[in-house]
Amino acid sequence: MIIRELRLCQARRALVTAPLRQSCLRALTTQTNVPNTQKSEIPSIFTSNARSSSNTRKRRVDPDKMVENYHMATELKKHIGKVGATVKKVYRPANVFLYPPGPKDVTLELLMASQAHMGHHTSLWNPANARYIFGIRQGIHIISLEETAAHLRRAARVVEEIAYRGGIILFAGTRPGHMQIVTQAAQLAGACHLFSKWTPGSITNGEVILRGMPATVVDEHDKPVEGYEKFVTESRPLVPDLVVCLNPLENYVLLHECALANVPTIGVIDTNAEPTWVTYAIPANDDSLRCLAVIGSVLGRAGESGKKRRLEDAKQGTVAWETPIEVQKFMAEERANAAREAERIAAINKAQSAA
Amino acid sequence: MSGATVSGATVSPGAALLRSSRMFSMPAPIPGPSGNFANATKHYNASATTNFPTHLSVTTPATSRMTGDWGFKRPLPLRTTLKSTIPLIRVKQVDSIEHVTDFVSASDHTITLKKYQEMHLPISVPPEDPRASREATISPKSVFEEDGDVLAFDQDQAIELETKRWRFKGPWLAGMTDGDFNKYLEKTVRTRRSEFRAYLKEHLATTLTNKGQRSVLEKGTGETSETVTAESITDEQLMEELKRLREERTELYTHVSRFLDLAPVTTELALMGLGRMAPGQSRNVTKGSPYSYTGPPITHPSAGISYLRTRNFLENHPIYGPQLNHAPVKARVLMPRNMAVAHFFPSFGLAGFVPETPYGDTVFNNRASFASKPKPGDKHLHQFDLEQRGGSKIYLEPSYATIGPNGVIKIIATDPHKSMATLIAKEMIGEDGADVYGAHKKGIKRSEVPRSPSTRPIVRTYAEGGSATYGMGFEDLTRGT
Repeated sequence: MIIRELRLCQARRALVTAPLRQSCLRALTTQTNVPNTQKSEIPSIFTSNARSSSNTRKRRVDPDKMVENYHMATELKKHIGKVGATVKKVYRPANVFLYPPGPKDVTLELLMASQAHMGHHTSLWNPANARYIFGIRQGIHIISLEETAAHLRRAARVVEEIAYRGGIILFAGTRPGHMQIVTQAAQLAGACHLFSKWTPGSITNGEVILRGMPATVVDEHDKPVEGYEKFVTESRPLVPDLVVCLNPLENYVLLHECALANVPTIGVIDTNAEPTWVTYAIPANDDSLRCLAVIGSVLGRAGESGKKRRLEDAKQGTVAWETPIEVQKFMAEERANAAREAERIAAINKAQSAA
Repeated sequence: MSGATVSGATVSPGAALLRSSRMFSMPAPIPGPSGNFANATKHYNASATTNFPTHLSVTTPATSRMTGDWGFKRPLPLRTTLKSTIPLIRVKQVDSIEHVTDFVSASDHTITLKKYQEMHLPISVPPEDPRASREATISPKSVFEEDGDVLAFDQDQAIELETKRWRFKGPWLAGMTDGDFNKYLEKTVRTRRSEFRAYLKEHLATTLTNKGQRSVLEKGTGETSETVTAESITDEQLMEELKRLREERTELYTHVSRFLDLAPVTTELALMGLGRMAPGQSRNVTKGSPYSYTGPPITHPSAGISYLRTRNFLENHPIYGPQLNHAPVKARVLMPRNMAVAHFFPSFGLAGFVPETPYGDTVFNNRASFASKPKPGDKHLHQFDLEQRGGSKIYLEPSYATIGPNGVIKIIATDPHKSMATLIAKEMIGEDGADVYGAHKKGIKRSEVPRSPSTRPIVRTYAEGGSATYGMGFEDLTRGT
């Protein structure tokens, strides 16, 4: 018995250790055995960097257990796959543009996360903003989040109602980085945007500066109406019905012109800005793009909902806005002209038939 | 004042939010290292790394960094903040009068801390006498040892732990300037004169009681001595005691330092001999505080750099198993030894620190090389290597670290003596063609005569390698073949 085991053991060892002779292989296989004489040569550009074969460590060749491991992992996942916490990505900077928050989403948390509370250095303050200031921290004034939220909601209501009444809204933000915010808000609300310099006098001296600018007359469904070409070319340039300004400090001229032309304005007022420059102030940090993106998207969403409500009401036959007096005058003139023309043609027809 | 306002001040939801916000939880900067008066006349680099950080390091996720959003008032300029691999800033001012956020990179301290913690080097108690640091280097004592790391102690414990604790109510007199000392006398000490007299009376009462008891015991008559109370001590007695103490300076200093809880100062050996000049009297001279020579630390002696207690653990190698020595750290030769400019020891840059090398006959301070030419292997310690990219490097073994009273981290590094640990560290990164594994393979001797099939090699089944080599000896790796 012992001898048998020894033989078995030795036989196995012999099978494992003894190299297979080439002749054996030839007898076992049907295919011709081509000896691999060509050695793969290293390209010459790598030879200088290549390590010599004597230097390389011999790696142990493990048996391939990929399939086995895969099955084991799937089996394991079946039992413990759902155990543990899932890490959720809560904040993505692009979310404010991908899913713009509306007035309903304004929370103190959102405002704080978007740095709305950070005012300016305490020595730069405008005392008129004292009512919005909560305190001092890290050398800066802290704007009260409740004030910001309340004023932002009020501004959103203003934008929504003006959009509902078919007013022209202008979103203006002229610092680098404001372009995306302003264009997005304008796109949402169906409004105008300004991200370059405000041409001074565009409101107060619009007849000269904006002469010959294209305009369209639309009906209550926002569809262009024909027959007003003469009016468009002859009438005075348009003036916005609401201006939203993200950086009032740099746009004093714009706000001043709005004040002269009785155009209401909404502005983001930081602790160093003058709150009387704008009609509706939103006390917030005007330096953080993140904060301005939130404010812009909230106001844009407000304008969007106002516009949507206006178009829906128009379908039901309710129109909340009145035709501007200039257009009414033009229409009356046109109507009179048409009547006169009709009379004239009728007279000619009458004369012709009498003859 | 009504009770309602006292009991609970309710805050608005916005205020509660703000209080828990990250900007509000930024700690106020700690005072920076005090200026060295010697630097006033020297060249002073304003951008040099300070001894310790004073501001919080702030970082931001990559997505926010792309837009410059670091959570502060305004986006930070991308040109400066997008350059570094690991974003770290310290904000000095969230907004300044110039309408800018004042910030600088905080990589210096933060990365240095990371590198330090990678060395697994605990902070030790400084040596009692820095001139004899050898003992402390050999058997370093952690700053977290219970006997020395005490913050809450009563009067008796304060005296008991005099030579061990690191926190004292009073100043370190040896480190005070004249003006500071005068101010301290004026403001703090003068006002406590009567308190000190009461303290002395108390002490005198105890001494007299003890004295009486001893004399009664010596007589052996079985009488009991009466207890002397502080109230019973007359002004004359106190005056006499004061006169005596003025002569006994060592004893007076002990009383004063205990009363004011002064940080210990060194008691030089000359003072120890004073007892011999007054025979028949014993004096207790406290000695041995690690902080007496350089002054007590400004923070906890670990300074929060490392919370390790010891370095006595084994590092594991993926192939070779547990290692006897720690992996040495690659250091840069900042300044080779240059006798011409009296730079007697080479300077190294080790994990952001310039370590001290031990005195004595080491590779850094080779006595033989003073006279003769340096060994070819140590050439980089003696002259600049202009050819090697990044300068020459050396492997060092950090052994001991302490923090000085000014917040400077002092590391003592030794030469790993071209040990196996260095070879393995080199092999890990494929440096210098170091190949421990291959070298062992080469070391196997094969018999020149081909083996006959009958003399098969005996497969040894027992494990080799003792605690000295951890299976790393040459003979260990040859087994089983």
